[in-house]
Amino acid sequence: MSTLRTNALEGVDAKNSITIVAGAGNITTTNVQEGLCKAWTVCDMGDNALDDSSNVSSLTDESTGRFYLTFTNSFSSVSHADVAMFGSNGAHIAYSGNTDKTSSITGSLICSNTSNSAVDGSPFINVTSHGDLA
Amino acid sequence: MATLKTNTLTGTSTAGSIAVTGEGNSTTTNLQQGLCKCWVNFNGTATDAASRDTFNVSGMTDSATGNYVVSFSNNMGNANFSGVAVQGNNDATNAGVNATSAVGHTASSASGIETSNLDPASTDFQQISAVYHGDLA
Repeated sequence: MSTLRTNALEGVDAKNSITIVAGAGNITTTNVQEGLCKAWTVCDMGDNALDDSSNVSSLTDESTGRFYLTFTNSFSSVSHADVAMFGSNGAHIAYSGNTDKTSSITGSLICSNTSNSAVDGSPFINVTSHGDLA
Repeated sequence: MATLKTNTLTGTSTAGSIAVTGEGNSTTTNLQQGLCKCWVNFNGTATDAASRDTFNVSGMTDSATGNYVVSFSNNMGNANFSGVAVQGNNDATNAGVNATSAVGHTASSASGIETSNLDPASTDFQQISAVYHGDLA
């Protein structure tokens, strides 16, 4: 086994683009930067805390069940892909129209119970964001 | 600080496998396995489910109300990939409530997404995001 030691990776032709062989057949390639998750968090609307996170600076509690996340380093556009999961017993989470998403925030997400009533997501909400950083 | 500059990364023992030391500085994880292989943000109310931004998506199909197909540029190795999605609206009061989504594994080349209200009836939404992990072909 060979081990390459480095603290940072950078593309040569384009700093922000490194191709990597990733297919099961050892032929197909994908892009490292495009494939990396750019932000994630495990957060809790019970105390509005970010229990753990990467590239998320804060959780803003807008109202019962409704919140948005602010990124430390923003995306290059509003068109990032954010997905989330929370709760139990059939509860669900969705985008809300309260605060629109921008390059620097997820936009409002709202947690609801099986009766379709907004509830604070607790003890945890999982969110991941993919897209192009600024 | 050491910075490695390269255009391509390839494993030496196995081309598609590179180990990376984890954040705790002891265990390792696999770089290729950890990469998201496809992501998409699209408008489910637009003609042909217009995508706003994507990675590894060759096209979108609007199959029916609340039913879409995401086709991959580079196919997955099989249909057993992991896809998750979230949906909702931008501009309608409380539109995010009363909404769920399901991600189907149509084939190694595509994935179906269905968005519904809780009746449950298939419903188009303006904001739909999906991400996919798994093995490329």
